[in-house]
Amino acid sequence: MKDLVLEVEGLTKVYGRGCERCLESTGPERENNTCPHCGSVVACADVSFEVGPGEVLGVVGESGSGKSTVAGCLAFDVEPSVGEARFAPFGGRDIFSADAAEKRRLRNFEIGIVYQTPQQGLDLDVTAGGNVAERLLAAEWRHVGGMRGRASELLSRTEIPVARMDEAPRYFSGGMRQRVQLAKALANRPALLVLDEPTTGLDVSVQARILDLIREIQRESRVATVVISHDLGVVRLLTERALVMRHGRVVEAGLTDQILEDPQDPYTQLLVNSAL
Amino acid sequence: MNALRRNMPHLRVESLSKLFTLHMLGGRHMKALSGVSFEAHPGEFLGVVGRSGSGKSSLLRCVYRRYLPTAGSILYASKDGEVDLATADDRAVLRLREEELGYVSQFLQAIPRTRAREVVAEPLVRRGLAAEEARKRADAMMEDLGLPTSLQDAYPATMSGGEQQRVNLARALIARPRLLLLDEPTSALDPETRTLAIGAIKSLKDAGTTMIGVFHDAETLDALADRVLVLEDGRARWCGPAGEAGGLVRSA
Repeated sequence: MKDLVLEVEGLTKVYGRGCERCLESTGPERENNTCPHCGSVVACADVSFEVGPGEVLGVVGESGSGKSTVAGCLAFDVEPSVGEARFAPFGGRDIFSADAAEKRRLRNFEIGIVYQTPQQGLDLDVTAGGNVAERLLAAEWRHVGGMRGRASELLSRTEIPVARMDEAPRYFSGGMRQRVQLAKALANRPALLVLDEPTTGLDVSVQARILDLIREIQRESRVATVVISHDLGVVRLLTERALVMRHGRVVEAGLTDQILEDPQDPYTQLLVNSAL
Repeated sequence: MNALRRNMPHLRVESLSKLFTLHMLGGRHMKALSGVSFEAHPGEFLGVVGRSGSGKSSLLRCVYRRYLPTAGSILYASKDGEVDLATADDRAVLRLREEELGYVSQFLQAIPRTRAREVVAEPLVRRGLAAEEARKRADAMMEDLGLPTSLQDAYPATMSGGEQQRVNLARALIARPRLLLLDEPTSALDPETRTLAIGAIKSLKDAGTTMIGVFHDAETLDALADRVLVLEDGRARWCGPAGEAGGLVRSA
């Protein structure tokens, strides 16, 4: 684990009973991720990557490429079928084989995630401050005044007006909801930040402001970050290295500027040439 | 520190080839570089000349790993030993870019919605320099390049081509890389500001930076290059002292 925060190896997720021929019968060459023999869906297979301190890795691909499954596994929302994720704050051990209590602890202290849909990451009917405090409570903060102070510090950093701290995100715009998620994800200064399509579906101007904010905060905190996005523009702005996924497999990995200027894989070439 | 000895090349490119496979055009191949070999010595300025399409930019991009070389090696003597930039692991290349390698293209790689001062200061901030000090040095560097004070806190995206080039150049020079790759960094400058740019490049070279540069005009090349590499159709045709290149440079 020298010089690394996270080292994922051979991550595979199969939905269904699975059979011996699932892997060979799916993937980019087969143009699908459903096994024709047993009908199982190979959401992702043999995904490996590493992230060092302060680094930002992009995972790019179209819907159904398996990129969100990767994020889901890192947040313990999805149980991987095969694979390891060695994590420095966990003594370099595999977090996928951690027990339930350890996973809860890791999720509370060391891994922050921002989901595409705010409902997944927030309780929309609890106040913005309360949503952040929920994280702090999970990380064993007990002093109410201290929590409120930390929550307001985080929310102002993510540009939520302090005056709206006691309002529920249900009454917030899409962009504000994502900023509350970001504050919540960062609450306990995690070692790993996972951003799963953090700006998808937002207006372009709102999207730009949030991406800038993510970029600033990442630079300040030096948190190791994995950004999942279908949008090459997001990957170009935020990352220095990237993986390109298709039909559950990594088809290309490299430096972000190299992938954009000299894409190797046919699918990546199509993706780069399809950018608006 | 052996690598810094005068008689050892700082960069040794061997049989470098770059072939593009265009899958959207039925897998058509386009050859950019074929078996190019040359050396660059510590502290020297190697000018690369050739007609448009001869592979000059591709060569620089391969060295910086914006392009993935198809064959051959790019042996770079880093502070921590020799690295083959053609095959080095992505993270190792990023570390070198942050600490030792610089690249300036003809066009600004704008960081959207970021002021010129921050664009220029960023490489120093990333190395841990206090933001205040980094900004001060950024202002000084932009001033050396003749960028009006009023533009220093403007967004580069709104600037003219020549102003953008100076921001771009300032960002690369401020980092004081050990190897600097220059791809027509002065093409949009008027003669006066070009002289300032040449001066700033020279002063970094005098401090020991090795440079490989492509220029659109012979004057800038004459002012900077110690040796010249002539490319023709992606092949190295000649490499030698700038003074002896004469006709080759003019015809190329």
